[in-house]
Amino acid sequence: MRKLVNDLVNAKISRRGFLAGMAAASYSTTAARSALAAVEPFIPGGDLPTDYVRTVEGTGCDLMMEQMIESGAKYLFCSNGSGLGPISDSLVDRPQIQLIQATHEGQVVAIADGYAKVTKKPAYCMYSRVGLPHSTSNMYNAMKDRTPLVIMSDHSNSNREGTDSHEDIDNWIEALSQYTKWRWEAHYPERLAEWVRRAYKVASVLPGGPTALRVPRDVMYKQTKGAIFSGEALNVPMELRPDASEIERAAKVILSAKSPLMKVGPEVGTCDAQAAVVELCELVGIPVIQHRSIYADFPNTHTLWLGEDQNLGAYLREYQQPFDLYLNFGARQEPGGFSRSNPIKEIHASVDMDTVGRNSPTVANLVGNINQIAGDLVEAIKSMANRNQLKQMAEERMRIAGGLTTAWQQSRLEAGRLSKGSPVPWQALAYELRQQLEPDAVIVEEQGTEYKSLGMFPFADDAMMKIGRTEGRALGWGVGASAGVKLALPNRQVIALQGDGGYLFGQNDSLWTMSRYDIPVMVVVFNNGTYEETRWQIMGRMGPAGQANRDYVSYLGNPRVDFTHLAAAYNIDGAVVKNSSQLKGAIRKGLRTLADGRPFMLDVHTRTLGVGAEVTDYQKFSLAEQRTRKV
Amino acid sequence: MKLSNPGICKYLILLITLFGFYGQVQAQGLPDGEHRDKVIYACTACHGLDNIFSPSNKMSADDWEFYVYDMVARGAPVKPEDMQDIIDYLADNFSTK
Repeated sequence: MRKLVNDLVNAKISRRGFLAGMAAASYSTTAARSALAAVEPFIPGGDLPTDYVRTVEGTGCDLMMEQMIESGAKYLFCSNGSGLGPISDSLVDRPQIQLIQATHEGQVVAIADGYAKVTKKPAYCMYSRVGLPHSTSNMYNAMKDRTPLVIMSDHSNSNREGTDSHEDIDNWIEALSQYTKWRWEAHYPERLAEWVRRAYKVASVLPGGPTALRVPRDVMYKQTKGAIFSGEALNVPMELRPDASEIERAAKVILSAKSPLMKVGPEVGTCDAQAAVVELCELVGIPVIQHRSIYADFPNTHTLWLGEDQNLGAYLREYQQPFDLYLNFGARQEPGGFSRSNPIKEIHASVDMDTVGRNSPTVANLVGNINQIAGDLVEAIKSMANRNQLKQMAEERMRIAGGLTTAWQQSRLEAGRLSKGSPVPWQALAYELRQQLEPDAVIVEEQGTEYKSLGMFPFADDAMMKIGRTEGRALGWGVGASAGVKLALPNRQVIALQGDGGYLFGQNDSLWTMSRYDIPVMVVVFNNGTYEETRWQIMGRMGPAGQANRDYVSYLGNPRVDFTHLAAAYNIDGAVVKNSSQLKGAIRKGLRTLADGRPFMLDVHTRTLGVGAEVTDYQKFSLAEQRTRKV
Repeated sequence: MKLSNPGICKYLILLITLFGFYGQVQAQGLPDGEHRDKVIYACTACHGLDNIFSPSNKMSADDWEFYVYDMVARGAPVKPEDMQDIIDYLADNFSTK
């Protein structure tokens, strides 16, 4: 489609030629017409529908704001800076944009990221020109997750830029290049709406990602006149169909497989393709495991759900047919595919042409929207096999996988129910949350080793929702993201599951935002006084530090942070739980607080385990003791 | 109890899961007992058995209960009716009493 659009806007083909080309590429007539309508304003010499473009007079920033409004923006996520001056002036006449302010640029991006991960539309951010370095950690997370964000900031005035002057470096764009899908410095006030439109468009087209726009402050203040494009002109249909012959080949391979396995990844959630993927798996009985993902890409209560790699052995012991086909749906490809040492046929489905088939050979590459791919495969398979054949194929695998899935889930819950004590076993906390949370609660997760607590919650389209943890794994995202998630889903309970270590990567700033705007999220800190994940890795490899039983960087117990005190500084209520017997009451109190419209901090002292769990030593140092003058 | 970096050891895990080789070799050191196989299947799905054998392991029966609940909650493939059997086997054979 990209080439057709390019040819059309460069007058190499006619509208009719465009429609014919789209049909030849398997697009439906509706999709082709919709794409034509979206591109229409940019066809040279074409008649612009009058309602697609309007002219606005005002400052350059007024044009930016008008374009944001046209794209359907409700919120502008921001932090303080004198570069916000032009926005402040524009807001006076544009109350339809609600600012959501944070006190740190990193958390601005985290909040916007959480919002965009749920809405799946670009979220706008704006912060000071020198805030960029602060923000890059979560910009990196957004880029790894391909989350659509439009990140704007001011820039040195036109007569000062490039002089290594006050608040400037020589190349801000280079600094952005690894963390954004597209970036630009805009210098013409009359074209600012055009750049905002472009940033939005590039961010939103799959695979999405953050885009960045820097504008000299004087350019934003300058009076001008320019075109604003209607929201319709931003609509690029993303119903991308895979190649028909690849679908046919893939369908044949699936039907001939004796023991298929599917791994689902974040593109399934991004494309809202869970239902279509479930239908495909049920059709022939394909058991499913989950790749790392910001979403729950397959219902974890489904009979075909096997969870993670570790469970495959148990399945194979009962099914007794080694896997002979691996379907990777929407996950990054592992080097060597399913297994380097035991390669099997792989089908890779992805919306990202750069990703598909990248790290291992495949028998079919399905490029397109995952929803379309799954739907097309279902149709192709149905056309090749009758209902009885399919039923026979699916039955045994569904029976075996279903039996295991149900049993493991019962065991998990039972283990949570039976776990008790002080410090609190994390599974007791997860179990109690499961008992008390709403059936459609949203879990925003940024944990280390305790991410396994997610197995306690039922995730599906008609059950709970999971957002996180990020693919980039740069800590300092979850609390801010949960505020953004709640802004996107104000009528669903939102719970942030957070490790104490991850929280301490500068996330207090988001409590300020939650408190100011009454964003009722419950932040649950699994406070085990350690970076357990790094301790396991560093000490567990039994190098010199492990053999000496020394924990240099993971122990957090001195000082042991009281997270409710941090929350209190932001006028947020909380509770500390040190024994599992206190869990029920504390969670109930937290949920009541959410219902009343305020955030809540639940600080649960959890038990750590594994290598180095007993070590409270660290490299002791007191500067105070080394002073020669006690001042 | 030693767990490994899941990213680094993905393929090791896969090997263990599919072929059970590592676990089988180590399992030779596990004492006979009614529920020995259940322990092997549950534990070696994710990791080796070194931590069970480790002489520095000073686990009480209560500790084993805590660890088994922890591992099952993390997703160790164990059926509900096998959970107590696994605890009993480990407590009987590897606890400080």
